[in-house]
Amino acid sequence: MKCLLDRLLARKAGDVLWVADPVGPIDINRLTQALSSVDPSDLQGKRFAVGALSAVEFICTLVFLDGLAQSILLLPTEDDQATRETRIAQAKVDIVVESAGFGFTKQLVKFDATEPNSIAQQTVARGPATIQTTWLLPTSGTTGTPKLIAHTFATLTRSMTTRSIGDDYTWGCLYSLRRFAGLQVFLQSWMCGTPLILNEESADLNDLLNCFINLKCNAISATPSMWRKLAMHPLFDRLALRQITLGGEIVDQSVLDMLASRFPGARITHIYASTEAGVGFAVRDGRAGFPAEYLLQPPLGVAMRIDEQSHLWFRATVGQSSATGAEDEWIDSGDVVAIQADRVRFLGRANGSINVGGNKVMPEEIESVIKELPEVAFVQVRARKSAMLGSLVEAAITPMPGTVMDVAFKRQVIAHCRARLDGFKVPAFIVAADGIQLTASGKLSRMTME
Amino acid sequence: MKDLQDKITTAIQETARLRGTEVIALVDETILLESGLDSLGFAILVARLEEELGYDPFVLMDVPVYPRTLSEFVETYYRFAPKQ
Repeated sequence: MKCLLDRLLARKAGDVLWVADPVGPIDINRLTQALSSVDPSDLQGKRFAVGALSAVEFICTLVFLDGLAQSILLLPTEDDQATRETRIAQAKVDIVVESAGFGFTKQLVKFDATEPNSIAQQTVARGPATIQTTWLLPTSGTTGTPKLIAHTFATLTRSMTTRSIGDDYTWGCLYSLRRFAGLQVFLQSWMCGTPLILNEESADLNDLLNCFINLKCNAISATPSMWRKLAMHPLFDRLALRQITLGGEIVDQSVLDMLASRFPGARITHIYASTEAGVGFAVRDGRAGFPAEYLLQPPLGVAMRIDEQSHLWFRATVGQSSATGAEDEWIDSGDVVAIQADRVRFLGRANGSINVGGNKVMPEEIESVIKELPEVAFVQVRARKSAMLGSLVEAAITPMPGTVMDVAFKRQVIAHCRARLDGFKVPAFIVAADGIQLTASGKLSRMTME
Repeated sequence: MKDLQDKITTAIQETARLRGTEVIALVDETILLESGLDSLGFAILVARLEEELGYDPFVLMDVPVYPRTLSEFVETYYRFAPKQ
């Protein structure tokens, strides 16, 4: 039975797993000693929920519980009380781990980092994993009603590189580690032996960038919206990135081009994944969308098809719980796509369309056209209520520094849209954005305007 | 009333410009649907005016009114203007 801890056997004692404030570099010996401080005997086979914990405590708890717990439910920290209680009941949780948790962080502070040549202590005070732990991940809610998706260590790491890459890379993650995307970053760094910088979700962008620069972070994973937000920060150009990973939202050509020009030597990877289906594919050719041939020959073995409403579907192995066993199931991603020549392009979310007098408008399509203008740093297209037509299209723009949102600029945006879009898709209103609101999973917050 | 009429004619011209259509010279008798604005343009015009004037007469009215000409349109706005 494979679990997270097994992976440590392949590592050297002094390998740095994570770097975190205020604990510093955490290597295998430090981690092992900290984990040994808790007696696992009474915890075996229990169902756990992991609530709010510091990033270090959270990650240590995952490593500790995988292979020990029957199930681990990762509670979103932004849940309200009622949702939280529903989830806890749904997962039949015995123990909720939160606040100071098991106290691993306190233990880590006691132990120093290992001397480079000392011998690794790779045995935690428990035998090999006897349980295949079920990981219960709540969906982000982009696809409607939030639900719990069952995964295992095997399904979560299915598409990952397992060859040892070591410390050529230092990863930084802008996702919450308790979300599917954040877990992917953690697990990938864990699988290939690359240090991961652990930061708190609440960290201020300025502090975070300073931390990434100081710790020589050269690989970052984030949503396109987060990348745009980062790109507007004065410290952004001081990052020395070799790996750039995007996912979680539609990756448009302008964000790919921006990243390629700012970091000419970096490898840019767009990962298409969802909590339900796992990782579908990765694209590295610098173009938006994905090769149409993936529909016939899926690169990671996850079959895809497009239905008559242009929704993209995935065949995923789901239902990993011991009760139901694994089975294949087609899952509607909720993404609307179009085949253009040799490419499948993403048009938007099926449930996010704006109804303009009976015409369906995908906000993402208009955003992608507006983003073509170099003066635009960030744009969000949303509905504005209209008594006559139901909704009208409004674009809230954050201009690049030095660009003023005057009448001439607004006219330029409209003219650009008119040349590229159907009349009903052209924004009726161009307004200055109040700020850039991202959700807990780093996606552009699409609240309905009433 | 004159002030209101000016605001409305400016808004019609602005909206038409935004929509990329030509607006004919606006006089009282101009038929709205022949002014160069289509139904989408018209909805945009009403939303713009709501932003500028602070009210939408078409939401406030109990019995629907369909102004045909510019003067009827201005009159509708005049009638539902908040009392000073």
